[in-house]
Amino acid sequence: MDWTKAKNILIVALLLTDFILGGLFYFQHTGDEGTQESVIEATIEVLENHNIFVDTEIPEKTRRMPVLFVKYDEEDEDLVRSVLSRQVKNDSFTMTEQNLKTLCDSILRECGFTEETLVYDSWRIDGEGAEVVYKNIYNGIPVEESGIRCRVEKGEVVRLDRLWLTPTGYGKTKQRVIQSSEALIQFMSERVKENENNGEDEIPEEIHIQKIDLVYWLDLSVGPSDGVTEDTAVPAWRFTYNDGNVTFIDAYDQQQ
Amino acid sequence: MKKPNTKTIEFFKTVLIVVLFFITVLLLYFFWENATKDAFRFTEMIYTAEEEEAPEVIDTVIPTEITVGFGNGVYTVISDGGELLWKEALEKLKKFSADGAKQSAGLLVSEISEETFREAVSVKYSSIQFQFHYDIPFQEFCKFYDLSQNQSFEKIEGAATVAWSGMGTESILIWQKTGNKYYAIIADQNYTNFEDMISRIETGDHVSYYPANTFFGSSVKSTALLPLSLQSDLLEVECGREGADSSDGKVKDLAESFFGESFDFIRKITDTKGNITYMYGYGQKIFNVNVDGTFEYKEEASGSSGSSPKFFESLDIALSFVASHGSWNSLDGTDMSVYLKTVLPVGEDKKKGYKFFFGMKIGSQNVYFEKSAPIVVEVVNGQVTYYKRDMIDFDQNTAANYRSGMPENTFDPVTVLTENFDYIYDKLSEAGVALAPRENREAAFDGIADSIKAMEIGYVRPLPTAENSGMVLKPCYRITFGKKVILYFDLFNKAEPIGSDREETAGQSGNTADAPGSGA
Repeated sequence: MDWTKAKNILIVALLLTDFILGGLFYFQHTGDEGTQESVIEATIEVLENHNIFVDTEIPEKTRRMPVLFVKYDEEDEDLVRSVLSRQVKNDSFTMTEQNLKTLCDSILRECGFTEETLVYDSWRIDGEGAEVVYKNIYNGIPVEESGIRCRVEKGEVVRLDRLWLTPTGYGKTKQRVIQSSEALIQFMSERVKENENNGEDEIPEEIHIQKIDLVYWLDLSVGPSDGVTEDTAVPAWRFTYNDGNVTFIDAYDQQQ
Repeated sequence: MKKPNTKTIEFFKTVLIVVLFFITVLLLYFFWENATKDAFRFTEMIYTAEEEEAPEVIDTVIPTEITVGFGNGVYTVISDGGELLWKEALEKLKKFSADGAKQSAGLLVSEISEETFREAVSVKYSSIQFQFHYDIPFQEFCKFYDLSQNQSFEKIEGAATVAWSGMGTESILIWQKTGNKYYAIIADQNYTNFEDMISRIETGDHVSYYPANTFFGSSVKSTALLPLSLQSDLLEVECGREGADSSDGKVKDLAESFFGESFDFIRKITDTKGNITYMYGYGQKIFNVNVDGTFEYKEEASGSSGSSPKFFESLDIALSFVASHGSWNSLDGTDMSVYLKTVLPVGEDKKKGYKFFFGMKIGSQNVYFEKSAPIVVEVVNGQVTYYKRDMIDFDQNTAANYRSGMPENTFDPVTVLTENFDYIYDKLSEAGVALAPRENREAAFDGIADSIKAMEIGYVRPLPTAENSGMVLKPCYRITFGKKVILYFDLFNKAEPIGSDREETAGQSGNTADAPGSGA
């Protein structure tokens, strides 16, 4: 038997098999961009038929993410109370973003809230005061609903609400998260179901989705009041709609 | 440039073929499993949870006690080696049913009164009772043990005691715990095979037991059997809690066995005490690792199958489930001898499933878990919906040497009551047992003696707490009183009280009657 020839044939056969399998595998997992666009278009159409309008870009790319383990952080309530009580009222305080941020930053520093993941997020006028919001952003992804909310009135922080989750590590393996279009359909189904429960066939009020983000989200139906000290946050799609309403949709593909 | 020689080229080709072959296998794995590179882990491929062997159903369903009356006022209660006697009894029952089936009229089932049953197992006649703490559905019982049956057998729903008596040697007696009903399965000829068994037991080594009213006089009606005196060589056994260290890989393996591939994506919650909860979805599957060393698994029941669950089928499911989720040994691999202690029907109309409580033994001695059971499994419509482990762990050598080999007199069984009169009085009064005022000591004592349902010997495992990871199994008297009160007393050392229980928590209750006892 000519072993040299046999080996050559075998090498060619194996190379061909590997190319075919590799190619199939690649196309299966990257998907067709054209198809993705048409899925988004179809999703928008279905949503609009149910009075839901997307006023922002729908993220197309999908990714694989692990869970995020978090620990509830307890604050020194006495210290916070003492820091807030030491402030002096300032009637001439001008409520600009910069002034509010400077004031809140210094209060948070005094309270010892100096975590690297604490990031200023937004502010808004609310009655005679303003609300300044800080978020917990870990490796570029918000950890919801962890953060700090400061209420400022007449140049002083009158209230400080803090729910802080310290990330302690990721899960061992990653899993595919569903595409935002899939999450949007789930969002719509939930609204339709809510309305059916209220005895209505259609969503009565128009829903305008202003922001779509992929976040880590912790279901707070069980929390510190139940004695929980450590928990697990999962990837979720966050939909912000109709001026500040927020809904989270679990982004793990339950089919897997 | 020097051209590589043929040998080098051939070697390179061989290596290339091997590499390409492995790439092909890898790609095929990805392709078929629809996996991705993140999901591919060598550790997972190497580690597969080993399924321990499950005990056979036939070896698990054994009588809790075998009570033998010699017909001369003396009884004995067998808990050691009961398995062999039960298997022998099953052969005799098989012969009884086969012979009966050949009769022209076949075997007849007739309901009898409680008095008749008690008379049959009284001091007057030789008798043998195979007693369970639970009803075994009778049709299934006959089918499982291959006993011939006819339409009249349908009268009997369940059997908690199978008995034979010299009073009516042509009959096998059945006590159904639910509804406290008594039946006789009657043949048209005498059946005396059990007499041989009783004679054999009488001539062998045995501890003599007498009905309580023999000791306490005619004012006491209790016929519960008590030993006159007892010798025992049981030693205390030091033990620990299974999985006392929840960071142990074995506990993680156990947790992983419930969730399979999704284990890395389920919610893990730790509370202030250190209890860990693994939760799948919105609570469809929950596994708790408790700091007291217990493990608890709950699963949402899927839709009803519509048909009544089968007892032996459900038991088989429970046995296999435990084997593949933690095994029938301790997590550290210590051999445990486990048996089915009791069963409760669960679900609507008590038709949906069974909750199996398993007990454990060291050697042949029962270990009573105060307010607990080592393993509890609930099976609803063929699905395990609840599983709890409260296993202990001990050194195999220590356990093998639990007997000193030098029997000593135990604290006098009857004096246990007088020695602990006040303690027992308080416990029974708390439970609502009607007793005469404490000052009227004689009448109050008669009330206590009257309330005795059973006296057993074994080990007691005290209730674990977060603090006591090490425990001592103590040899004990376990006395069951009325209103389902169970009290444990040291087998030696002045019979000091060492624990208490309720039949509900000990897993032997239900809205059912008390066992008929000696019937004396």
